[in-house]
Amino acid sequence: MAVQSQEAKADRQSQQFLQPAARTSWRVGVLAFLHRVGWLKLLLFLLPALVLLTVYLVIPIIMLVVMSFYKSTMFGVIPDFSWRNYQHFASSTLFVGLLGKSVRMAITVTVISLLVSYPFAYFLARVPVRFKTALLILVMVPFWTSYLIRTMAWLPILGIKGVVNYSLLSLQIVSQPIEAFLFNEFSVILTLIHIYMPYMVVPIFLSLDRLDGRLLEAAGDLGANPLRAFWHVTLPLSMPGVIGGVVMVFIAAFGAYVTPKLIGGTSGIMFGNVLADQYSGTFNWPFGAVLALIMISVVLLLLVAASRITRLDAVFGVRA
Amino acid sequence: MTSSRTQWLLRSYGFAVYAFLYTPIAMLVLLSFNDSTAITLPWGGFTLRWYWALAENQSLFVSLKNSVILGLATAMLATTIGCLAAFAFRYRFRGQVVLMRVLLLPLVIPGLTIGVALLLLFHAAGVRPGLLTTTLVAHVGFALPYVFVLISTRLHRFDESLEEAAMDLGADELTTFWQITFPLIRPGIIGSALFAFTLSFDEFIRTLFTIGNDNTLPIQIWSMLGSMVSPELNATATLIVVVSVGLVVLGELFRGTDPVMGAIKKAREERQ
Amino acid sequence: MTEFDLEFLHVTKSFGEVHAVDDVTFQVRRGEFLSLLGPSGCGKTTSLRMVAGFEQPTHGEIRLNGRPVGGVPPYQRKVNTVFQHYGLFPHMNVFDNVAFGLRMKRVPPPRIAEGVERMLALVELPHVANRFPHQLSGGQQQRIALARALINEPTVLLLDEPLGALDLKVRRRMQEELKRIHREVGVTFIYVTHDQEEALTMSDRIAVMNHGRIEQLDTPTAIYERPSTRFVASFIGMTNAWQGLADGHDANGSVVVRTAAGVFLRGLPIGTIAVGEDVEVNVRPEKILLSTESPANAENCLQGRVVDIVYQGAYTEYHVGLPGGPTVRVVAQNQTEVCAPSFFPVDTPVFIHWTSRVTLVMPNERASSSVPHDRRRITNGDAGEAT
Repeated sequence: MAVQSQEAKADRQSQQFLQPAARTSWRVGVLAFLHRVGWLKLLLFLLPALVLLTVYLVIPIIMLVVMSFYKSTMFGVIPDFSWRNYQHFASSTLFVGLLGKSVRMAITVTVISLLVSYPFAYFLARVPVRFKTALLILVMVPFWTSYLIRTMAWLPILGIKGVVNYSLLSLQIVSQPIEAFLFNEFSVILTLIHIYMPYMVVPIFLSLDRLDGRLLEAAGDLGANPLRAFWHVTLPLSMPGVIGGVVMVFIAAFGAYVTPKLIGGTSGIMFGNVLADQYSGTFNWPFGAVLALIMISVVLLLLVAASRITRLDAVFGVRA
Repeated sequence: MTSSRTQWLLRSYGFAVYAFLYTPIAMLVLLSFNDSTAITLPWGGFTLRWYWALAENQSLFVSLKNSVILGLATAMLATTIGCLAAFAFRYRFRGQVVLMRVLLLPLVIPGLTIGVALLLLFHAAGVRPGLLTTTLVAHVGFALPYVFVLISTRLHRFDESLEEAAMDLGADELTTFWQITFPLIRPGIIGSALFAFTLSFDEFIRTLFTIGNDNTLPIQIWSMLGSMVSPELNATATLIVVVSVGLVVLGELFRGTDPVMGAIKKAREERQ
Repeated sequence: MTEFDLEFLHVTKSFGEVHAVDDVTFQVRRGEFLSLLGPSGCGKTTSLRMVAGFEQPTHGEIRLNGRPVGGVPPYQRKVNTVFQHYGLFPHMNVFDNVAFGLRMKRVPPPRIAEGVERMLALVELPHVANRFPHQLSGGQQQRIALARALINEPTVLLLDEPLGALDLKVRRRMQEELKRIHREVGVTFIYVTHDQEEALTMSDRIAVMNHGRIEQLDTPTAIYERPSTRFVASFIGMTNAWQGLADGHDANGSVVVRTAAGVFLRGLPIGTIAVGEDVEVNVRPEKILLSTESPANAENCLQGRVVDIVYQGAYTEYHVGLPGGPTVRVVAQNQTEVCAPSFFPVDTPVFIHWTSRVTLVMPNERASSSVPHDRRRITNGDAGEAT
């Protein structure tokens, strides 16, 4: 061992402090260049995402704004530069009413979903650790199937020949099938709750799961019974999750198209349906653009309101 | 601290919610085997004839093929772009917070409005709608924020001192990435790619507005729903469910082969 | 070829307004074991990272083997680091971990195998080559990290609080191991720690750092026995302090100080002390003797009463309350059992006495302990310059 270290010492004296370069020189050059011009490397990494976002988000929204100032004629759309389309919307009880109805329905979906999901998320958070991942995946699995399929799955259940009516008839609870289960607001709300439940459960679960059990012990130690500990400790600390879930579900429900179209009948249509109609049946693109912008504005308004209450980024665990 | 009665209550409630979540899909799967021309009860006996009918449905195969191709393309592109962006966000730079908000914005903008806006864009630009052009843009844009978040969180947990150790030992930035960083985040990347594929496979609303004459599977189901309501629909839907779920489960399994987590898990087990 | 493996020349590292490292200059001789010691935030880790190449100095120059390394990336420096949390690659086994540096240099496989075997023998873990890091204990992982670094025969080996995560007994053993390996291999070690005991045990020299500057760079003995600043005196070990005014000098060169309580103490000056200057008198607890009778010919002697006893197994710490003065800590070795005649129970009136040679008198610094450049300070021993 001693001989070895003598060797090492001698070796060292004759070596440069730089490692022998074993890489191709252009690579070394490029890396050194990027090292110095740090921002260039950053830009290169971000460029694809920036380009994609511009094409997918930025320009399309600009297009919406531009189109909202066009006029629809028999021969196509021409620039108008007036508020005509906006006025058309604002003056129409039909459309404004529909907007109000969609907001109301979305709120209903959100509230019920919250009431149903919170205890469920609470249950999940209390489950022993070894089951948690599995149970959580179990919640997510329906979520990973297309909402189109999940919507259509309700057809054979709610219809007059559907499972529910079939059971009611067989058990002779009713003598006639009930029509009121399908093709109305009720079925839309029910289905929307069903489809978007994971959106509510997961954020609430995450914030409950993160809760330090010792806080509740401390509360108990200071004289709070379980109910009061829940109210004063658990509930406030789970607020970020609640807000996150509320925002996600509301936006999803408010922006619904497939569900009301498929199972809403005539009384269950929502804002999204008339929006889409402007691009198929009526072909009034400018007006459709206005509707789309209104939908986006409602969503953004909600986001702004929510972000005043809590840091949304924290809910989804994304580091800002 | 919780009484056993509360425990029991919570558990039965949990069970009820799971039932609520799964019943429609379970019913769908069940009915796909129903030997009856109605798409609902009564039960006419077990049969596979709807699946055989599917096998003979040419157009469905074409749609399936399209969905798969589109899904693969989306997965590759979204994962690459998302990965690069996630790596960029490891550094602090000006406008970082704003950029991240913009990156995540598509998550909350309703798909319907995006679809419509994209239609306007492509129409104005004179671009004809096509599967691997306009639709691909819609799908990659849709999947990108998801992939970005998944990979970001994975990167966040990655120990940077491992990269420093590699550089300290003589590995330049590229070598460090290939030999140290990438192997350790690879499961996360693969999982994200699988998730992106699933997102694309199931995507409907944006596709509706950006696809031309081609069909993806969800688009075809939509038209099937519009025209004839046939039990074949149930079979198709069941297949899609199986594929989607299967892919995600695969993705989870992949995360289980994570060299770090897997090793740590094993060590914990050994110690017990 | 210079005799210094590592040199810092007026190195400053700023993060915005904050100077993590503030105009630091020192030289490290070949084969030396130098510790950078100080509280968190003192700049020791930042200095280390600048040597490794993970940070660049804002001002000043760092030289390795006489050549400046500014701008040279870490993978091109002949410097290796042992990280605080080992940094072993979890997806590679021990062999691949240790071989990594050699593989980067495209060393042929037979020599790699040879080198790994040698290194594992050096760190006394010859049979773990096929295991994975998570299968090793903390101490073992630390040794593999060391092997992985040393195999590359670096000019300087950097160690960033490598023993911080280990249990006490393991840590003690690893300290001895590191000393042994250092002796055998002869590489220059730069060792960062906040544990003064560790620094005192292992180092040839210690650089005590505070707020980005070096307070004193000296041998462990000098650091402990002749601290040159108040920070060093109080950071290393324990000390008793009296405030007072310099009253004069006596024939031996000691300074006579009149304390606030009116007592006169004698001690060795740090730097030049003018009469009437505001000073602090320091003496370490183990230098003070206790007795029940008044000692003859004591240079420093005070009378008091035992107010508290802290039993520490090998030592007993006595807290002696002085009338009008501070409570003095005295540490005495328990050479016989505790209840021997040398044991002083609480409330015993006692005399405490010590010599002037173990007493230090230093100018009182106003406010913070940050060091102005024109401070009077002893440069001790055969070290390089201290800032």
